[in-house]
Amino acid sequence: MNTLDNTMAADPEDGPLAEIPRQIFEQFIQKLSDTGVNAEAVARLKKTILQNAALSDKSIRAALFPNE
Amino acid sequence: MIKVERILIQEFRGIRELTVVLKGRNFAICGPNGTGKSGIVDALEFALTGNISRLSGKGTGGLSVKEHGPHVDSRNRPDKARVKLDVFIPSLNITATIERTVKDASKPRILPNTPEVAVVFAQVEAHPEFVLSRREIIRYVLSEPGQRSKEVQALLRLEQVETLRASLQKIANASEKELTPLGRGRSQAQDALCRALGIAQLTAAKLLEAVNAKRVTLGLPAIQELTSTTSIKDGVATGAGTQPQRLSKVQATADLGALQALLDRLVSEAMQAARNAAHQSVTALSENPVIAEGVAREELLKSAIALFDEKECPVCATPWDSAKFKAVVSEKLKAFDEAAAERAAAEKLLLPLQEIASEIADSLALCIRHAKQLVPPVPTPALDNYLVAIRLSSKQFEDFLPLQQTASALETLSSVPADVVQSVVAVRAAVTALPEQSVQDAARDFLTVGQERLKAFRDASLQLKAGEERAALSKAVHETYVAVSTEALEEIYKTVQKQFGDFYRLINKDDESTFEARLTPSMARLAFDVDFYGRGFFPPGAYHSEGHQDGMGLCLYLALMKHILGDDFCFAVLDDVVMSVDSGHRREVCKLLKDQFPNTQFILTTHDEVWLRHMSAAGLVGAKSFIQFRRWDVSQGPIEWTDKDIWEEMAEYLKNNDVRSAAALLRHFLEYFSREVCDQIRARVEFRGDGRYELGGLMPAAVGRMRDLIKKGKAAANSWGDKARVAAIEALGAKFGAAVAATELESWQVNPAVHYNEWANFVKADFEPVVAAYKSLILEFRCAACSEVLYVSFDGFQLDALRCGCGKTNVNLKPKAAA
Repeated sequence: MNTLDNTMAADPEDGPLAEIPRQIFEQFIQKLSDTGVNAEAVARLKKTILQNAALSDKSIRAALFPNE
Repeated sequence: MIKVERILIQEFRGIRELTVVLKGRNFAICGPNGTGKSGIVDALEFALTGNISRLSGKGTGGLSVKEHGPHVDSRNRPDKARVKLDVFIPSLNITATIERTVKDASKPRILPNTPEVAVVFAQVEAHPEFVLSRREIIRYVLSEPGQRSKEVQALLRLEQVETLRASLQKIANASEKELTPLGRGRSQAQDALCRALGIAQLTAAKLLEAVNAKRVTLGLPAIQELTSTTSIKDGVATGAGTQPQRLSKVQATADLGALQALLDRLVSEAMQAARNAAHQSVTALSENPVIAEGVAREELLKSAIALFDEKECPVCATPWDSAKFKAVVSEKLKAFDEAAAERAAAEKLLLPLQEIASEIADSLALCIRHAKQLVPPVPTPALDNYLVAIRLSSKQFEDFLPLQQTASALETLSSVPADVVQSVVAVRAAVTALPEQSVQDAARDFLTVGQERLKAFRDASLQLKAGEERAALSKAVHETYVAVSTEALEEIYKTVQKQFGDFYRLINKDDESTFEARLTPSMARLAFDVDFYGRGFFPPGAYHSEGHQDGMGLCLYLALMKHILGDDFCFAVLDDVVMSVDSGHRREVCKLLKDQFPNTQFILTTHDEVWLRHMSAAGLVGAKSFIQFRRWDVSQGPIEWTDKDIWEEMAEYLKNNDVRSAAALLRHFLEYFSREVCDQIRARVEFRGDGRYELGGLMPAAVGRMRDLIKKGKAAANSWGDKARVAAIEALGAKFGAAVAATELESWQVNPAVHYNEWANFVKADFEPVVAAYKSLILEFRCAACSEVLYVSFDGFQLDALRCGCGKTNVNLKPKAAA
C-alpha cells in the first residue's frame, strides 16, 4: 500500500456516516466541484469523507495536501 | 424500529424479578417516587443499548453499569443481572428477542440471529434518545444556545457534521498560521539578497543592474532577462581567482553590519518597551494560579485530543469511545475561555520579539560562518552560545508554555551579553583587516554569494507560495463547507421549527393558538425563542411557566424524532416528562401522542395517579396497559397493587399479630382499589381540589354507584320483560348487599368504633373478619370469570352496560323505551 492509500485508510471509529451528515457531505463535495476547487483534491476529499467516513483533521489534511 | 411486547428483568438495578407485558401498545408505569419505575426504564435502555445513561452521563463520576447495574444483593454476580425483551419489528413483520446480562453488556443475544434483525437492533442502539426524561427536556429547552446546539445536534446525529467543520477550520487556521513564519523567512532571505547585491529594493531591474555591472568587470555577457531559473553567476569559472574559497570581505562587512543593526534594534528603547510589556503579561499569567492552570490545562487537553489514538486516553490508557472522548475533552476546553483570551493577548505581545529573535539567529549564523572562514578563524564560543540561546527563545515564544520558560526567554532579550558584543567586534576587526580584493575577485565573489542568496530567496518564495496555495485551498474548502452545512442545517431547523410549532399549538390551542417559535442556527450555536402571547419572542424560560416549558421540550423532542426517524419512529419512553403540565393540557398531550403518533408505542412513567387517569381516560393507554407500584423494598424490588400479594401480606402481618401494619395496608389498598372502581363505573365522589381522595369518600361512592347500576340493570331487564335476567340481577344485588353489610362500612357514620380510622386499634380477632369482609366485597366489583374490575360502557351519552373485559359479565342498563 502506498503512502496515499495509507492516508486514505478509513478511521473505523468515525463511521458509519449518519443519514443527515451524509446528505450534507454529498452536497458539500458537489459544491466544491461546482465552484472549481482543484478536482484532484475534491476527489480525495470525496473518498476520505464519503467512502472512508474519516473526518479527523489528520485524515482531511492528508486528503487536501497529499505531499506533505 | 421496534415495539416492545414483553420485558423480563432479573436482578437488575432495584428489581429482583419482574415481567411486564406491554403487547406492543402504549403502556404506563405509575407509582410514587422510589417504587422502581426508573428501574424499568433503565432495563429497557440497557437491553437495547447495553448502557444506562443515568449511570454514565454527566455528573455520574464513580458510577458504572458493570458495578452498579446489578441489584445491590447481586453486585458480585453481573451474569445474574439480566434483561430480556420480546419485541415486534413492524418493518419485518416478525417478533424477535434481545437479551443482555451486565456481565456481557456489549454482547446481546439476539433471536432470530439474522442480519435483518441485527440491523434493526443496531438502529435502535444508535438512537438511545428513545428514552426521554425531564432532564433531557430541560437540556433542549433551557440550556445555553451553544449547549442546546450540541444537544440537538446529538439527537439529529449531527456530531459528524460538527466534527468535519472543526477539522476543516483547524486546517484552515493552521494553514493561515503557517504563512507568518514562511513570510518572515522570505523577507529575511530578501534582505540577505539585497545586502549581498547592495541594492535597497529588490526588483528585477535593480538586480540585473547590480549583477551586470559585476559581469562586465569579469567580461561576461549581461543578463537581459531575469527568469525563475536564471543564474547570475552563469559563466563564472569555477576555481577562478587568486584566493579561492576565501571570505568575501564586502559581503562579510555587510552581513556584520546587518547583525550589528539588529543587535542595536534589540536593545533600543522601543524594543525593550515591547519586551517589558510581554514580560509583564507572561509573568502576570504565570502568577495567577487559576489562569496559569487554565492555560496549562487547555494545552494539556488540546494535546490529549491531538494524541488520542481513537482508542484509549493518551494519559491513563482507559479505553474510550472516540466521539465520547472528544466530546468530554472539548466540553472541558470550553471552561478555559478566559485563559484562552489572556493567552492570545500575551502571544500578540510576543510576536515582534519572536520576529527579531528569528532575524538575529539567522544573522548570527552568517556571522559565525564568516568567522570560521577567516584565516586564521576567529573563535566564536560566545556567538555559538548566544545563537543557541536566541534560537531557544524564538522556539519558546512559539511554544508559549511553560510560562516560566517564556519569561526566562524574554529575559535573554533584555540585553546583548558583553562577550557577544566583544566577539562581534573581533570578527568585524578581522574582516576589516582582510586585504582588499581585486576588482575581478570582488566581482566573482559578488556573483557567487549573490547567486547563493538568490537561490535561498527563490526557495523561500516557493515555500511561501505553496503555503499561500494551501491556505487558499483550505480556506475555500472550509468556507464552502460552512456555507453548505449552514444552509442544510437551516433547512432542517426550519422543518423542525414548523413541526414543533404545530405540536405545541395542538396542546395549547386554548390560549396559544397563534404560537410561533424560532430555531436560529449560527456557528456552533442554536438560538431558540418562542412567542409569548404576541408580545415578542423570548427564550422559553423567560416568561412561560414550567408546565409550558415541559410541553415545549416534549414537542421539540417529538418534532426532532419525527424528522430523524420519520415512519420508523415507533418506540419511545417518556420518563416522567410532563409532570408540570396542568391537567387541561395533559389531555391535549394525550391527544397529541395518540393522534399524531398512532404508530408509535409510548411507554410513559409517572408518579402522579391523576396523570395516569388522564392517559387512560383519553385512550392513550388501554384499560390493562399500565402497571401501578405501591411500594418498593430492597429485598423484593417494586411491589404492585395486586390482590394476591395484598391478602398474603396482610395474613403475614396478622400472623405476627401486627394489626397496625395490616390495617394500614388494607386501608391503602382499599383506597387504591375503590379509586379504580369509581373510575371504571363512573361513581360520583365529592371533589377535592388537591386530588387526595380518601377511603371515606371513595368506598361509599363506589358501593352506592354499584347499587344504583344494579337497580338500573334490574329496571332495564324488567322493561324488556326478561324475568330470568331480573332474577339473576336480583341475586347479584343480594350477594352484593350481603358483602357490603359484612364490611359494616355503612355504619361508619353511626358507629365510629367500626370506622376504618379505628382499625389500627383492633385486636387480631376483631380485625380478621374485617379483612375477610373486604376481600369478599372486592370480588363483587370484579367479573367472576376474568377477575377484571367491572366498568360501564356508554352509547353516546347514555349508559349502555355494566360489563367486563371477557364478556361474561354484561348487565344491560338501557331500558326498552330508550333502546
